[in-house]
Amino acid sequence: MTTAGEEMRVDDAGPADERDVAAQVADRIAIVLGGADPADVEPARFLARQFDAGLAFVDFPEAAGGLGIPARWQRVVDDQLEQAGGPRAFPRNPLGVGMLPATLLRHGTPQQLQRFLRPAFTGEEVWCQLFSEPGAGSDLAGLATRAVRAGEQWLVTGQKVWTSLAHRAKWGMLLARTQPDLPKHQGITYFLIDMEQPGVEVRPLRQLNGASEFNEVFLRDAVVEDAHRVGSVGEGWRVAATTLSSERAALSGAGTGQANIGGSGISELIGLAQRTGRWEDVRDRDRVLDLYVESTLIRLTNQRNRAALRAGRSIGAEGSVTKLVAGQHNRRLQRALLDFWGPQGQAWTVDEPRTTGEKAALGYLRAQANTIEGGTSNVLRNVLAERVLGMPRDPGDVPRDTPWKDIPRG
Amino acid sequence: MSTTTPFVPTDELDHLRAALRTVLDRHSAPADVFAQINTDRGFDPEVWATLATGLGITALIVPERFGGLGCGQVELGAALEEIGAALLCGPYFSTVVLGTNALLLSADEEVCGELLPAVAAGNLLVSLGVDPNRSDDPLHPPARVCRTSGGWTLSASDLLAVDGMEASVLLVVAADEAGTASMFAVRLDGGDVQRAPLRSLDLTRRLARVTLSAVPARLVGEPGAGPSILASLWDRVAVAQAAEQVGGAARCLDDAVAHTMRRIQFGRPLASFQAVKHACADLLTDVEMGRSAARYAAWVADAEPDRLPAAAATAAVWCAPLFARAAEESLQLHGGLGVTWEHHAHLYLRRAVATCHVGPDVRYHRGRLALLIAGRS
Repeated sequence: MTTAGEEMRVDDAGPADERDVAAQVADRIAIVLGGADPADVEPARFLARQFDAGLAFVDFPEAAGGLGIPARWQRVVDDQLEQAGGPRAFPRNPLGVGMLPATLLRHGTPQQLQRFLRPAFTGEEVWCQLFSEPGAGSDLAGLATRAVRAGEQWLVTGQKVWTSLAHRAKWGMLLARTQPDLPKHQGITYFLIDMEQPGVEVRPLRQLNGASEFNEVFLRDAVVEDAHRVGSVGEGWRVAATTLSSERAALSGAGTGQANIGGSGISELIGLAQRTGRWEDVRDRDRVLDLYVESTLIRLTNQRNRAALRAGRSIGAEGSVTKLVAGQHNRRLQRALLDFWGPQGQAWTVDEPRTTGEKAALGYLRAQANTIEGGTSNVLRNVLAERVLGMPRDPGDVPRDTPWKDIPRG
Repeated sequence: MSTTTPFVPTDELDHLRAALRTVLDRHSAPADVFAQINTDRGFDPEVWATLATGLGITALIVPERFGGLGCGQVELGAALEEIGAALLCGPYFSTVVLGTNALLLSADEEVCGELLPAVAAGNLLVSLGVDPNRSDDPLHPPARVCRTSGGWTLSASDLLAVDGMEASVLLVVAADEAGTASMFAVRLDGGDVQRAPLRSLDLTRRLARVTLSAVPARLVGEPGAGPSILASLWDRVAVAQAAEQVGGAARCLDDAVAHTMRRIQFGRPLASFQAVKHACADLLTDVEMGRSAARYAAWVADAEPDRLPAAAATAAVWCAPLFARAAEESLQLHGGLGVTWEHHAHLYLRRAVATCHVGPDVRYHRGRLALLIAGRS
């Protein structure tokens, strides 16, 4: 990989504007790092400095707090600041940093950008995403949470589910139905909702592995300002599409997008196979080999995807397949780890601290969600076939122009 | 010549692919392939001339000092994806993938200087002789040599050679009485050479059985370097085959999608059935993973050759089964048409599964990869 240093070097062979940009970025980085050692500065304050120097979203226009330079410079900035000891904004506020900014830039008002971007970037205001509902998972557009206009406010009633960070969030990106008489895609509006109000109740969800990474959110006449509506009334589906396809994570190299799939798993499996003697069994060795090859190719395909983006090419099929294969891969990998642990992966003494064997059991359970969260593998296959291969949609669906209120629900 | 990172898209590669695809669409469409496999030689010499001299396929990886284009495995891989997709009939696998790579890996400047200019110009075909019954030990020398006052003489029975009836020169690794194995070149148009064509499962690639009885042989490369040349050659062959396999698999998928979009049953296109869509989506996923494997291995071959063994083995382990599965699944999705002679699905299927004769099989690569990853952890 080219290092940040290589890309920063003033290159006499490059175009004049490239040199200007490199110089400008170098200046701004120096301002951010100037004075105190990043390790001594509180993360929110460091990130505030980064934002004020225009380095939080460098591809954004200056009026929105950016520098108006190509998006690929963000990686340079992030790498340099991280190397100097600075904190990364994304892990502190993944939705507020990864999804909100692109959404507001494209569909929000200048006032919304002014009000929300900086505290999202510094992590002072954590964000959650209120999209899925118990009755609207794969068919998100069928959502039923209702927003009714009341003067300069909206009153929202309904239930959201699978909401990460809701218990810590100050704000939520909310999809609600404003026009039940229109076809389902046309009667949705996008709002920014204050999570810290009486009408919003957050309850943790318990998962099959005992953890609680997600929440249910109950909305009972929760209040949203019309000034915090993003896009027009009824335009919510289009705005949500921007949120869901936000490329920022990919460009910043934040990974495959599947936060629960670690790259170290295959090394762990190889080591475990060797320690337990499983490596000597040709069938087990083959199983490990196939997982090794698959994990390598997932990594390479993500790399190929990023190389295409960096070269300004539009992503081809390689951009869509890793989500599908990574989920399935991780389930198989976690199953292999569980199998190879044998008895220590299945039973533990009552007061034993959590061993690696128990973690393997829990990892296997958690991995079952990998082919469900973020788009089920069933739907992903449909998307690949229809959008990439151009094959026709299934017939017999409810006609797209059916009013939402007439669509069967259950 | 190679980029510092893999997968960098370039206009040059795009042009190469586009130029090849144009020629192949015109001269190696399924109807052309059917016509060519029925000829005596198994290919159309005019089409071959267009590709060899017109587009420079035989010159692609020959260094410029030998009259070639001086390109690397990345460019060859891009070409082979297109060639594999079109099931090109013609002696390119022997001469370009086996012969040219073997000569380059021998590092024998003199022999390269004598043979490669003619290869690049499309005037000389070179193949490699292997023992078809020793695919479990692909580094084993399949021939014997004796020292004579004039040089060497080489003997071997029933070697297998891709394009063996067309080739003028055969490279083969032979062991002397002391067991030292080196690479040698023999001319197939002289001496005591018996060669006979074989009928093969893969109709698009011609094979020959070759028996050599004390034929004059020329040492190529260092004495004793035979096995190491072969080991490196099999890595490059794996990279080349992976590219062909990805190209072939992608074409099988394209054919399946096109057919199911056209074919109407139960009042709608087969492509609108979810089972069909999901089968195609899974193939697409596997093809794209294979593309990453093949292109990465080609880049490693050019940029980081010391790391080629693992990358080549990874590509082989994935791409060989990929092509076979894609060919089978595509045939399946063509329904009754897929099991007729006249439909080209079986041509791809035959190419996909008849891999024994063009390099070590997947077991060799799986075994090596297992050793490599065990040693690393």
